[in-house]
This record gives sequence, structure tokens and C-alpha cells, in this order.
Amino acid sequence: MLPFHYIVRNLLRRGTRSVATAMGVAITTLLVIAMHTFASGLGTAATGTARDDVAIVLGVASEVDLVRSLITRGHAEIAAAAMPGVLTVAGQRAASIELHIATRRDDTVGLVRGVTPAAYLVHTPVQVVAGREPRGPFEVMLGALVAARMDLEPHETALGASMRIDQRDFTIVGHFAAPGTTYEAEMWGRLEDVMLATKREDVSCVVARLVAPEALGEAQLYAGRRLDLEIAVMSERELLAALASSLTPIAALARWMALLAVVAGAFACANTMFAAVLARTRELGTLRALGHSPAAVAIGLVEESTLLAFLGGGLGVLAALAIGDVSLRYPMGALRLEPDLASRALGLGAALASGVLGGIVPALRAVRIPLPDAIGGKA
Amino acid sequence: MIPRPSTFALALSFLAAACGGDGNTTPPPAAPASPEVLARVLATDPGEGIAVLAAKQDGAQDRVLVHGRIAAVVKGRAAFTLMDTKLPYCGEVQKEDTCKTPWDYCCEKPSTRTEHALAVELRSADGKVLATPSLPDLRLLDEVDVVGKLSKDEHGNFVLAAEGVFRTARPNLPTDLRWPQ
Repeated sequence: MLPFHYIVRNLLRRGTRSVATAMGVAITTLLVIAMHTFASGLGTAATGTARDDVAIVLGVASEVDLVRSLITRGHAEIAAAAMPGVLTVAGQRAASIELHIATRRDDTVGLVRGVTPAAYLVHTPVQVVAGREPRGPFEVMLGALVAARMDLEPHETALGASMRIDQRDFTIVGHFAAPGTTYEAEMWGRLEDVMLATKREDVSCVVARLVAPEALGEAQLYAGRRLDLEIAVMSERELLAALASSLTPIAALARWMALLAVVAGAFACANTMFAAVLARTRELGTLRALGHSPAAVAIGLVEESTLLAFLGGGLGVLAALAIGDVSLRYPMGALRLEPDLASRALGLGAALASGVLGGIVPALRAVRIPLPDAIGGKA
Repeated sequence: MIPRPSTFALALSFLAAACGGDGNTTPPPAAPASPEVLARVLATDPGEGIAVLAAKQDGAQDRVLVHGRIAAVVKGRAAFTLMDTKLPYCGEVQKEDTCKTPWDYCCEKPSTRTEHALAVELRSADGKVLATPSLPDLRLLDEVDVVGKLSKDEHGNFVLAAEGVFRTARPNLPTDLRWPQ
């Protein structure tokens, strides 16, 4: 085996090229981390907090889409009041009648949820972190990612500021957090105010907390019998899984981009190593003439490429740590990209893979040159 | 200088193999139906059943044979919605309709759907709907004959307490449907 200091010295011999390659690998590492974080973040936001003891009552034929779901207000009230298996908290049934609607503001689309007080019994991940929940007419509470979702400046989301939703101005009275959920991209107002502002007469769904996951069957049986209500019942997990499956193409695209980044990194390493082999043909031939086996020389070149990629990968990971959390919007919400340990490890692993892949072909080429030609400097 | 493409093509194919697709396009394998539910499957065709709409027009009856199509199944229970076959499911008539969930009749108004539907339940002796992991060799949009007692509740909904079920036809459906899991 060639000594490690020989490999390091060779990297330093062509400093500018080594730095450029390391920077290229750093960028691809950063891309891999970003894409993996995005893809896994989509899945987590969609299904991360799904509960089996929460049932969603949708309009029939809504194709598991809350925005497309329509239930007449009267039918929703009957379901909220009479559906079996619903938990009662302090004398109040944990069944929230809601309207989910998208509202346009310039070029951005905001997600508005009209809720009743029962919503706070059902959506337990939602915690008010500033101000209070909407109690008076035309008040609204904003999730932590609304600003990212709608490209809003901090002063536009401050408590007391006014927020235009369709035909009405709402006063921002609170901010809420629900980490890792899709709630954070939403604006919550009182159901009647949201219905008035958006001129809607129907609601989207009833979200109910059940006494136990097993009560879902009773709820579904109720919906099956009460055909007149034109409703269907499914668990929150099932609904969010359907949502997640609709995001699958986006996540798959992100993973393909990460894969392409690895390939690009491998090409960068290969290019550098080919140049190194060409410039050092005579030196590599001399090493073989001195008794180093072709395998040892080839392994030395792959190690050189891998070390270079590792340095680039390390830079990429450091850059990801320096950038930190990033808020990002996607078609159905917004999410916070957090480059966690798994993403960083994957990024570094991808960089190492680039180095190994990029080093193999130049190394094989270097040791295939006949020894007299190599010593004579003929590549 | 660039490396030989074969090396990278090989590497790419290995990495690409890690990316799987969405496997929700065929009905998921179901656990066997409970023995009590299996016992309600009729071995022979009980005859020509009347349509769902006609059965509803005739009103409550102690024994009736109804023909219809399974439009929704209650998970874990021997209960489903029976739809009149006169109401076409999405894509049945208009072949260019590429709805991935044709059994939800999303191309029809909810009121039309309700008008053409009744609930079917397989009950135990004490009147409770039987629990079952699946329906016996039945799936969404299958045409079935159901024999049983038809009743009407105070809201105008019909429920058929089934004594026996016989599958009469299974439509050829596209292979890319989003079957419920």
C-alpha cells in the first residue's frame, strides 16, 4: 500500500484543482442534504403526527381531499352531534366542524381553516405561542410557517396587524406552533367568519377525536347507514397517508436530484483524477517499477479521490450546519427543512460515494498502461 | 477527459434501483373473511334480484332479493353500500374518464348517489354487524345479489340486513386504480 502522506502530498501538489474539486463536491453534498431533508420533511409533515384515534368526516366523493370536500353545515352538525365513539371532554364533544379553503394574496396562496371551539380539543398538537386564539369577529391566528408560505414580512404577521382573507380584513390576534405538522402553514379563524368572508355555505369536514382507535368502525358504520348525510369517515392516518402519496412524485423528484448530484460529484472527482493520472504517468510507472503492485497504485489513486471527496463532503456538511433551518413552501403547505444527523450522514456518504466512483476508472486506466510506456511518459 | 460511460451507467442503475414506485395500484391482499361472514356467501345464484331503486320504491320488506354494485365497504365490518347498477361509476360509460377511485361515484352529485344507494349489513343473531377482516372474495364495484330484510329508518335511509350474498359479475377495471389500503 502507498503511504497515506504520499496521498495527502499529491492533493497539495495541485492545490487549485483540489480546492475547486472539493468545492464542487461540497455543493453536491449540500444539494444531497437539502433534497433528502426536503423529501423526508414532506413525509413527516404529511403523516408524522397522524393519529388513529382521530376520525375525519368528509363529503362523499371528495377523493380524500379536504379542500374539495363539501358537507352541508346542517349535515356536519348532525354528524358532530350524533356520530358514535366521539370523546367527550369537560362535557363537550370533541368534534370540530371545519372549513378548509385556499385564499389567494397576490401570487401566493394561503391556507385558511375555519374552526369552532371544539377544534382545540381535537387538534392537540396546536399550541398558542403568542396572543390568543380567535374569539371575536374576524380575528385570525397564524401558524409558524404562514410567513414562509405567503412570502410575508415580519410586520405583516405581527399581532394586531390586519390580514386580508378574500372579502374581509381579519385582525391577527395569535400565533401558534405545531412542529412537524401541516397545521403550521395555516391561518385559523372562527368558522362563521371564514364562511362569511369566503361566501361559503357548506363546510369541508368534521374532525373528531374518538374514545379509542377501535371506535372508528362504529363511526364508519354510522356514516354507512346515514346515507342521507352524504358523508364518509376515515382515520386521520388514512387521510394523511393519501395526502402523502400525492406528494410522492415531488419527493421522488427530490431524490432523483440528489442522485444526479452524486453523479455530478463523481464526474468532478473523475475529471480531477484523470488529470492527475495524465500528469503523473511517469511517476506512477516508477512506483510500479519500484515494486508497488498495480492494485496498490490503483487503491492509492482511489484513496486520493475519496479523501478529496471527503474534504468536500465535510465542507458541505459544515455549510449545511451554518445555514441551519430553512422554511420552504410546497403546493399544499409549507415545511421547515432541518438538516438532521441522518441527512448530514447521507450527504457525507454521498460525497464518499462520489469519490470512490470517480476514482475507480482513472485508477484502472493508470495501471493498465504498459510499464515501459508509463515510465516513458506515454499516457 | 471523461470516464467510460459504462462504469457510471452501472453505478447509476444500482442507485436507481433504490428508488421504488407507488405500489397502491392493485387491491391489497386481504386477510380471510370471518367464518360467520363466509357462511353467508351463497353457493348458487339466488335468481334475478330487483334493482336498488326499485327495492327502495317498494319500501320495507321482510324478504327481498336486491341486485346492485358494491360502492363502499366499511373497514373491519361486514357492511357495504349497494349502488343501483343504472348509475354508472366513473369511467364505466365515459372511457376517457381516468378517475383513480371510480367506486366513489365522484362524477355524480352526492344527492344522486344517495338516491341510488342503500346500506347492506351482515348481522349476528343479536343484531350487531359482524366484524370481519375482509369481505369474502368481494371487492369494490363487484355486482352482487343480496337477499335479506329491507328496513327504513326515520331519516329515510334503507338498510338491508343480509342473509346471503352472491357475486354475479366483476368488471374489468384499469390497472392503475388507487385501491383503499
